Amino acid sequence: MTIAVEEKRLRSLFERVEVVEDVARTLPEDDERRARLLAVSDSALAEEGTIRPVIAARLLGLSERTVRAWAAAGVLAVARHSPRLLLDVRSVHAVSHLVSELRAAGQDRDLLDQVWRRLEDAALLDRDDLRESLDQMRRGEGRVLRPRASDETG
Amino acid sequence: MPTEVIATPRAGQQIARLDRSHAKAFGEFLDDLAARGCNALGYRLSGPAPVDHMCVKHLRDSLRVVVAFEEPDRAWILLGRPP
Repeated sequence: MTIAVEEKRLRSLFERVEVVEDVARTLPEDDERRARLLAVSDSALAEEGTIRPVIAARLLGLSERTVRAWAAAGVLAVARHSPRLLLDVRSVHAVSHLVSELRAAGQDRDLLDQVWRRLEDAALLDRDDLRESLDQMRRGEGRVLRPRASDETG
Repeated sequence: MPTEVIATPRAGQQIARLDRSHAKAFGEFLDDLAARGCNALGYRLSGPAPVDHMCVKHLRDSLRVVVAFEEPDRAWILLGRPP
């Protein structure tokens, strides 16, 4: 398959997945239909499995060299190292969202750092201790560590 | 902006486990946060509310603090531990 044909096929897959994701996100977080739609889009990407760096580069609007550097840095998940490098399609898709958002916000500088930070944030938000802490804050459960300076002085 | 700083019980547990050097860095950060509010933070998390009111500050080594602003002058420490 030529690069152009493969790129077109994967771009079409990404677009279809994003339509499903967009619909899913219109539903409440606790709605079972949302979870099912997101599972469908995820499985569509999982079926595709892997993607060549040259195609990922075209989809992300980056050079192939940059894509390989991002894979080496762990920002893009590597599915296979040999006999040739193949990337995980789901990872490329997730990063494509971030890159698009950052470009739309005009934050093109230090793109690698910014994408990495966003991925770390996403992992952070999945943490049970953070969720527990947020619930405690909503219930007003806390201890003052530093009073407001004006309160302290009177 | 002078800011009241509160820790949730969960964050309090994590803070209590910090070793001396990390506790010192954390204490200095609290002073800075109380004095300067959100200007003491590193960057804001991206996402829908309440995520867009949460900020992260990387302190010493891998110690990372997550702060939520209930009001501009009222900050909650949500996490204070290495990742």
